[in-house]
Amino acid sequence: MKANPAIKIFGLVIAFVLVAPTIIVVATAFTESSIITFPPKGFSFRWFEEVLTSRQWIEALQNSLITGAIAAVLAVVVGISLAMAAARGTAIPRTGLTTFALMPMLVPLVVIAIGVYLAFVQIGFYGNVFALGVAHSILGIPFVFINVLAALTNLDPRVEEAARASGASYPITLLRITVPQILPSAFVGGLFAFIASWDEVVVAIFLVTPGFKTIPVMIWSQVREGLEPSTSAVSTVLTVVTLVVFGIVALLNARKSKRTATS
Amino acid sequence: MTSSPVVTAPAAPRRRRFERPNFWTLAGLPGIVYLIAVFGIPLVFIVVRSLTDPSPANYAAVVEDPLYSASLWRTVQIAFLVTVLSLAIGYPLAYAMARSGKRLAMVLGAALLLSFWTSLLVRTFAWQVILNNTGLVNQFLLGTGIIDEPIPLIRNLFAVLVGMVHILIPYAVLAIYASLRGIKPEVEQAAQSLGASPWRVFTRVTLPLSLPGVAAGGILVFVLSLGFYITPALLGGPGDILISQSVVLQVQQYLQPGMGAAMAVVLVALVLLVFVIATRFIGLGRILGVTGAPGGESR
Amino acid sequence: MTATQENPMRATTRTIDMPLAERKERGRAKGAALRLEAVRKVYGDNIVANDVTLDIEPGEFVTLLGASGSGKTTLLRMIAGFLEPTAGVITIDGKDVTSVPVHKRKIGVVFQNYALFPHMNVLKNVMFPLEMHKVPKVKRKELARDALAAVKLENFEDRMPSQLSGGQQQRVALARAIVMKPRLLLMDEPLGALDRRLREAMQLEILKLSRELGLTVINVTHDQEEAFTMSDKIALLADGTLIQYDEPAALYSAPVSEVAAEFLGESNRFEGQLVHEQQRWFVRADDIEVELTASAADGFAEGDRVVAVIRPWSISLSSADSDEQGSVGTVSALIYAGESQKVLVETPLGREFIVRRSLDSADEQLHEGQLVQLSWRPDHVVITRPR
Repeated sequence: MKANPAIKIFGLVIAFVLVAPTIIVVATAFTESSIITFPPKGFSFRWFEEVLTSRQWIEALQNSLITGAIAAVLAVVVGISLAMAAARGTAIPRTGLTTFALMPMLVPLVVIAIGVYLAFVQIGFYGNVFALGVAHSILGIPFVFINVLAALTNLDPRVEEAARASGASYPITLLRITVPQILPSAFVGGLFAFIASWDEVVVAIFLVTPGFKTIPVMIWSQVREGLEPSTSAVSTVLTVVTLVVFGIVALLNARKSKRTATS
Repeated sequence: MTSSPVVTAPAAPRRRRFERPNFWTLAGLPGIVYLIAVFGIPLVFIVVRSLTDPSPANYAAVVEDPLYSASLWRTVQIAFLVTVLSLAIGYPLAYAMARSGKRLAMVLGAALLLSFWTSLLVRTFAWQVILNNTGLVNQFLLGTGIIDEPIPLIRNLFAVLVGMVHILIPYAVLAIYASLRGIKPEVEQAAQSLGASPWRVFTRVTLPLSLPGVAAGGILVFVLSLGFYITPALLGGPGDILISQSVVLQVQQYLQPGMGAAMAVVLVALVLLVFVIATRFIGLGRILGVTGAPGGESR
Repeated sequence: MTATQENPMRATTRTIDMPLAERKERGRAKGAALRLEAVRKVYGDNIVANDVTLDIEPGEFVTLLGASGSGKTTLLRMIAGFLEPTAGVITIDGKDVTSVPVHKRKIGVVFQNYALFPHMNVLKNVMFPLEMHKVPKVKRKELARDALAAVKLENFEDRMPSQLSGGQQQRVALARAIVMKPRLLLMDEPLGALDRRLREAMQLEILKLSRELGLTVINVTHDQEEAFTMSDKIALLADGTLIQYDEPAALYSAPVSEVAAEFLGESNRFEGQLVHEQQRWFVRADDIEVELTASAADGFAEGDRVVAVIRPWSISLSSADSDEQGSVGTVSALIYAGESQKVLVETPLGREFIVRRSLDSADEQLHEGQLVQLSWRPDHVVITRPR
């Protein structure tokens, strides 16, 4: 049954309201004036220029990218490991393990941030990409876990049995047959994990130092002081990177569904 | 007298897994150990800290001090309001997405995902730009002469509500959309063919069948709202803080990590309580929705 | 068997028509002898393999035949090493392999859904076992190509499994299973997913290949036609129990029980008492009397409760206007099935016969409601024990 026109129009209005803030931020980044105005006055790249030539911002950008990469790689490895035990392990009940792996999604971010802060600072593990990468990997694990678990459940176990019959031991089968088959799903999960780290502030606030900041942390402290067009420019960069990553995810999914449709 | 075999044995459990599945448990050990180390132990740290820094009296303070209990109560109220609004606004959008032509559905879906994928911090920042004294809304109202001086739209619970609803609507929409798509078109057609008006088809067939999605989306939005920090911190006023702001304040400003930890424990307990009750009726997977993307503070 | 031996896959000898005894001679050098001793598998209260004892000689093609749930796949999986028996011993060439893990058994396995490695091309799929068994790198390609040539897939090396048809995938799976020149090849319903025509062509090819290689083959199927076409011997399983293990012809002509008779295709069965009168043997039921030969009655005694089995093809029909001896009935249905015709005949006492006739036979046309006479030769009647 088709929706009636009134509902369609209401839907369009809501959809517009949903995207409007993003559009407004991006638009204000191109203003010529030194205060944020909407509609923006004139058109210039001056705020992008300012951001991309600032050593502080470039360092933060690097920190964010490396932290995200570390978090994603850790989340992929750990997520695959957990998903294997959940999909096929015996000793631990599946629902228990699944709940455990999804816990980082349930526990409020602030709580994770406080916990990580209390524990990591205790051992002096903060203020660098590794510490923040490890902390952020927690947030990415559920995404990898969900994706890989689905992929593992769809695998044909006989393919692995064929490898075993071909003379491959369990570990070899795991590395040569199972992992390559779930890698595309793990990769998508890893991209989600990257984004989870890329735009994360709360945990980061607790682990940064004056000498080590990430982009969201910089935006956070700027925004609390006042509204500047440079913040809009950085936000635009942040959003573009996120959209590119999700674009890759969408592309991969489209390819996957196309492949399953043809075979 | 036919050739069909009469031998019908009880279906043997077909073991398709490896003979020694313990290997897979073994493969899971590194992951389990890692998650316990970097996630489990920090949570234990919080509990320990809340009981020992300086003493379990922290919990008494959380409950008794009107300031903290007020922020806790305020958080629950806001979360409830956000949930109701997100569902009320999200439902028609989900319905329009699920029951429109391909092109409109795609436009609506793209808008939803664009919003969903934009960093929460950026979206909150956007609301600052919009609701500011010199922001879009005030400029418009001043320009049209409706008001003479800017009205305070920011640094209050109204702004917090607007920001949170805006950020959480997509979660509600995705859950409702999934359940609306799960309704077979024949069911609605059957009701129509039996003479039900479109409104009656909706209220008697579609709405009841989509309620599980509404419930799943509602629980998710409610639980996420309980833990929101960035949005209330940037859009809210100093007088009406939420529980997660209290936690951060205790740890960062007042340097009372023991108090902050106790509040964190209360917050987690509240969230887990909601989940435990909810999962008695709806699966955890359904609440979390596999379609979900991170989008910043998705917890 | 090492990779340096002359490649038997290049053998051009037509061994397919060779008698079993001769093949066994050849096979002894290549195929493995397999023995199951009281092999038992229990899941909870469910016995899926009930003390199965089976002796398979080198070079034999043996089919495990049974309905789903009969335990045939479980048995194969225990032979392969994917499952460990609850009790019993499995030996290959006299060596106890009961708890040897799969990857050390050096067997070839072909699965119903091919189970190709989806992320490797055809050549890499076939080279995988060679790599796992540490065959020197330089040799791998050559051996894999030989195996692909043996299954007539020379020009498909670079294709991915998803780019192949079902039949081609099955050939790759076969090549992968034989590339290490295993002495024992296990097949789990290898043709189940193929359409009928392809299935029949593949049956012949597999048979030919396995005989050229002198392999011992264990094939699992629920398709009795396939079992009869391909096997030297058939192991008939029901409810986890081995009902009968014999050559196809023997299985057909001397089923050990009604269960066995029932499984091996359509049959007309009458339970009755074995009687011996005037040097002739009969099975006598309330409404019918069936004569059989003395050799068919061998092993039974007068007065035994037995079941007489007459195959639908063994019965001929003629119009009955005369009051002849034997059974008379009315044609109740005529069903055309491919090249044959199935005729259902009902006797006045309500017993129904299934009769099959060739369509191109010069037999007279029948029509429903027609009165016909049923006749068969006594030597086409076999008897067995009731269930």
